[in-house]
Amino acid sequence: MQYEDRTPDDRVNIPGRHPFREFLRLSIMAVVVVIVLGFLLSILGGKLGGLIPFKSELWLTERIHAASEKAGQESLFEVRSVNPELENYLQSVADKVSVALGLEESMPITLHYSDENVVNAFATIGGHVYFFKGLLSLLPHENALAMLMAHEYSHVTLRHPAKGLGGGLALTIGTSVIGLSSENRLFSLGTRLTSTGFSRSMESEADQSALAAVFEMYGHVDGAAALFNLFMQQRQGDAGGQFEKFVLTHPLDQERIDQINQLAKENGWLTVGDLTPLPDDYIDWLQR
Amino acid sequence: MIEYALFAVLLVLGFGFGQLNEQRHYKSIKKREQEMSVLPAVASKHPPTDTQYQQQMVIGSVVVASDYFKSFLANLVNVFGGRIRSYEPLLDRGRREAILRLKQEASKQGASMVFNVKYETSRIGGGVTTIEVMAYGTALIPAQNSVVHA
Repeated sequence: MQYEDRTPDDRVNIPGRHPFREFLRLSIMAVVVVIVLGFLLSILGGKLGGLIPFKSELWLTERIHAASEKAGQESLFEVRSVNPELENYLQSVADKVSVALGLEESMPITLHYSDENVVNAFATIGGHVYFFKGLLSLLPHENALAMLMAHEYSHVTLRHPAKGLGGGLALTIGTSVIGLSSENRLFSLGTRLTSTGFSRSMESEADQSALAAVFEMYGHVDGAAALFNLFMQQRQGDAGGQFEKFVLTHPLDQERIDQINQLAKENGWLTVGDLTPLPDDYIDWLQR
Repeated sequence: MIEYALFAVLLVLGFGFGQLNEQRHYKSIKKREQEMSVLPAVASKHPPTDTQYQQQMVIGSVVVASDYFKSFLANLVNVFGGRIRSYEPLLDRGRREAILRLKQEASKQGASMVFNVKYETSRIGGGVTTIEVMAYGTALIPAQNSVVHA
């Protein structure tokens, strides 16, 4: 018997197709699947989150606060007074905003001031709303401050923190159940785009509610758009995050200003009126 | 944004170096396959009976790692199903390299052929896909050439 070893035929076990074509095809499929799935999960989770009673949010934040204190860690929900005069003034404006928004007693909102030089403000679960020195120091008048506060308070009244939490949780659980790894950057980009779309619609809702409150307070909506003009200037001055600025946020500021003007037009709200100045000591308070 | 840039860089690096390594490895494999073709390694369990042979077990083993691009592509296929083409050349290289090492071992023993050749594949580590391919068989060493081991 003759035994021989012929060299293998490379056309059998090695795929001839170029891997880049397959990579492109699968990447596009993955992003589409994640966006569609993420959208559905966010909507479903958001709806479920909105059904959670507000008192459950309060209970949750109290538990988190107690656990943080027990562990000796700084609690996000702790009320600290760092600048009493400024905080008193902010609270007085916030009280007027609450009345204008028709805030119910069953939904207490806790105002937090942070002396960090960050251009930001946000609302989170349990009705905790945070304003940072960095943003407050840029405000030109009380009308812009009222718009900012009404916007953040509206997030609470519209239950956005709970809806966002529900949507985010549904997205995380859903993608991990069907085996999509969060380490996979394509999937994380897809979920990020989805959640950005989700939060954009919340911002728009909060703007509408806030604008109605500002009109209720001052009898006109002049100065409300100043807040978004301010954001736009800040972002344009920001050297980093060019791509994010362009894709995710930049068009949004202009869209929001347009939306404000459109709403004012539809409702017959005056867009020109007397602007209420900030207190004389406002800048001094901020610098303390 | 940095994480996506890093991801893109890793993909490009993985693709570039992965392709380069693969081409270089195949070039070497093909050259050595020609050189080693004089020593057949077959799956048959029935060696020739006309000659007296010393029998010796020989092993060829190789560990090959995937690159970032191949692993990423495989991860995508895992979601949608289908052939994981990106891993096929990896396994092919592993098998052929293992056989070449088995033949090298047999050649050192003075064997004229290797019988009853089998493969084993196992995965090593939990992170990047790394596989070991092992080929083993019975080297037949003509009696006059047999190496006596203590």
